[in-house]
Amino acid sequence: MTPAARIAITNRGVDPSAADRIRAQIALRTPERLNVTVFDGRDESDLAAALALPVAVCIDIQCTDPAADLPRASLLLRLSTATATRLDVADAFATALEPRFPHLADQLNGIRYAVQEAVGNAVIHGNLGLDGALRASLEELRQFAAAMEQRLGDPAHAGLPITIAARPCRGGIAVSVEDRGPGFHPPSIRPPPSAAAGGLGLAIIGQCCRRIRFSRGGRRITMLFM
Amino acid sequence: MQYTTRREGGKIEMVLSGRLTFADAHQFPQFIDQAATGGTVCDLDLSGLTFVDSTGLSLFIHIYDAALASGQKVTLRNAKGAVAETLRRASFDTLFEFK
Repeated sequence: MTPAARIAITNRGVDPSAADRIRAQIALRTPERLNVTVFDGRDESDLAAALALPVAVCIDIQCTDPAADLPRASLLLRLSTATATRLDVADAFATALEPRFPHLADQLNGIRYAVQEAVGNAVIHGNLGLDGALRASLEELRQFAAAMEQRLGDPAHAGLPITIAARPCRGGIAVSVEDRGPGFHPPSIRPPPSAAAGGLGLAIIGQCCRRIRFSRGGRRITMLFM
Repeated sequence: MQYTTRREGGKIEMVLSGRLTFADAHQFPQFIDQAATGGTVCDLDLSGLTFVDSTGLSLFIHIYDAALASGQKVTLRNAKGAVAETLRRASFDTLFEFK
């Protein structure tokens, strides 16, 4: 069997030559058989269907470097910043975990909330590079909103990938969310100037999971659910 | 999030639906302008909201700040399920009247 033949591709509306390139890239680094779905984030309306079993890797073709540096996981979703803003990613991902980790069914709501907050941080503070402190006053919120709209319209920001991965860990599940932004240094974070400026997201994540770990300069948050 | 606005005298009624999340942050200033301008009372009907994340919560904090500055009274109505639970956990019942 050729390396590429090990990769079973489900194509949801992507140009076949682009899907073949992704298949070849993944095959180079993956020795085992793998079910991969490729989709076009501009058109996709049913992310839950794209993530349905037996898929293990689900990739939005609208990402910059869609198949580069994929971490190993039981379920991996890589999508562009624009797609992560348009679709309900957290609900689709948590729903997809249910048949894969049925013993963690009572954790799914917490996973849903935590992934929502982590994806929000990855989009806003990570790939769009927006400072949450700019939301403290209404005037600053206007600047924040204008910058958000401008950057979502800029392919250099909107195409940056967000990678969500889940794997078994110590009888539970580790879910990571990674962006390509400037990074994040938790110990140096100052309290936000007002509740409107943000800071609630990490607190919500902390309430939902057992443990939080940052890596890759703060670009990846890993949340442990047990 | 989608919303509609209705004005009657000094009363502003806004009906919200869908998910209120980080993805909606770019439309917050326009929403706040509509909620906080030209009325003494603002009713926010949340019956159609299905989910609120932390960025969504920040919208209500801005509305609270604007209402405090102008003397406007804001009421949150008909929050249900997960949305009601999220608002309660954030202690928003100490900031707004709930109906």
